[in-house]
Amino acid sequence: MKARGFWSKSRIVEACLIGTSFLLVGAVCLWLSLKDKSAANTADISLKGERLYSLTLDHQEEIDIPSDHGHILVDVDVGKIAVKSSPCPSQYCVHQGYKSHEGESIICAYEGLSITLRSVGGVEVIHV
Amino acid sequence: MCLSKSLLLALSTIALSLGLFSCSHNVHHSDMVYAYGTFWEVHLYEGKDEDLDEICDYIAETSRVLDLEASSVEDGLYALNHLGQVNAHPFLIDALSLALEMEKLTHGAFSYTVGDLTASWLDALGHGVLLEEEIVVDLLQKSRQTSIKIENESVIKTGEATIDLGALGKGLCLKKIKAKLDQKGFTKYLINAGTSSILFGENTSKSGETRVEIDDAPGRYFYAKNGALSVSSNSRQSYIIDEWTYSHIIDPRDGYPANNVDAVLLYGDDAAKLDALSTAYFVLGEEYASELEDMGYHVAMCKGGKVIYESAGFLE
Ligand SMILES: [Zn+2]
Repeated sequence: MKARGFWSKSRIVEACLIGTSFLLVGAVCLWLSLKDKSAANTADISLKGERLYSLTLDHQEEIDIPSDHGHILVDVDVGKIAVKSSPCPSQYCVHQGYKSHEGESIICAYEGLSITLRSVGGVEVIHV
Repeated sequence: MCLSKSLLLALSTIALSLGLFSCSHNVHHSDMVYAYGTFWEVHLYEGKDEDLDEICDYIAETSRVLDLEASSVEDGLYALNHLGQVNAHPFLIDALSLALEMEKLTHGAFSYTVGDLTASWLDALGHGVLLEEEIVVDLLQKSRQTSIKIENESVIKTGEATIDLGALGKGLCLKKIKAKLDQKGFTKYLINAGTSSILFGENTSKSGETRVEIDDAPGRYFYAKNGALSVSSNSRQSYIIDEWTYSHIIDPRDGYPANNVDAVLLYGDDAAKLDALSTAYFVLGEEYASELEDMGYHVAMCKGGKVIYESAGFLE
């Protein structure tokens, strides 16, 4: 009797409504976050765990990084970055092409290279 | 709970979640304006493009009011200097009132009538020579004989020296902008008036703080949030003649370049006063620094690449 009282008809409708609304919000958030993935403005390039560069993606530049088996060429462009060539056998890093969103990365495990993209939110440091 | 109530609850859950989501979404409007003789960087991390435009327009407009060369501004400083009397723009009235207040507060180390003297000094130093004593004495006398009187909207100037409000214009403009931002309920912004005056709201980092590194004392810094900073420094502009450094800031008490310190940093809540005070206490030096703390400001003074005076708990 007690359980039936708790799960009365209106309670069930209520629970369904609230549940649906949470689902809806979740779906909308997911959609927005996928659709509106922030553009990156900064790329960090590391070799074997050591940070070599922190670049602002606001210009064109080609960076030559000496690695264990030769040279890696990284292509920097406005809002995007790619590995242009690498001495690695798989060429997986090169095939990934340009990356441009925050949180994305390009890895070349063979040479120990990693490029991660982030979006710097506003002014963080000022010199006076 | 009836059906309509639970419907309301469901809808408000949706609204709240969407609200939270949109808040966490980064907005960044920024622009650059050339005003008050320098480049201003304006960053808004909330609001619309129109809000940014409004601020940039205000900076440009007030800059013209205090511009010594803007002959087309009928109620500005140019008109006051050339006509001797003007029905002044409200911003000019405020700037002049502040100048009068600061003159009283700073042992004579702040003056709005040393513009001609400063300009002559900078011209001489730029040519690698010192200003002749005769000229210093003459311009200092003219400066001391010049004053203003404010009657409602009307301002009357007596004396030959040029009225120059360059030492407080940027700060006053930032203070007015702060009031506008407060009115809109904005808290996330940064307005940098060429690094000599900066208005800090919060940035988009978790702490909302901006790290401020001090070029006059390498390795020293502080975190700024919801405050204003004013910097008077020789590293902006100074001249070396015969291995002696001459500042671009002139001591109104003797008419010669101030040489007590290399830089003064003042952090607090009143951008307008900070701007005038940093110039005045650059002139006054370390000896008077504690007065600034009594006024409720954080202060740091630098000389020879080191901090020689700092408020407790200000710098890291
Ligand atoms: Zn590879």
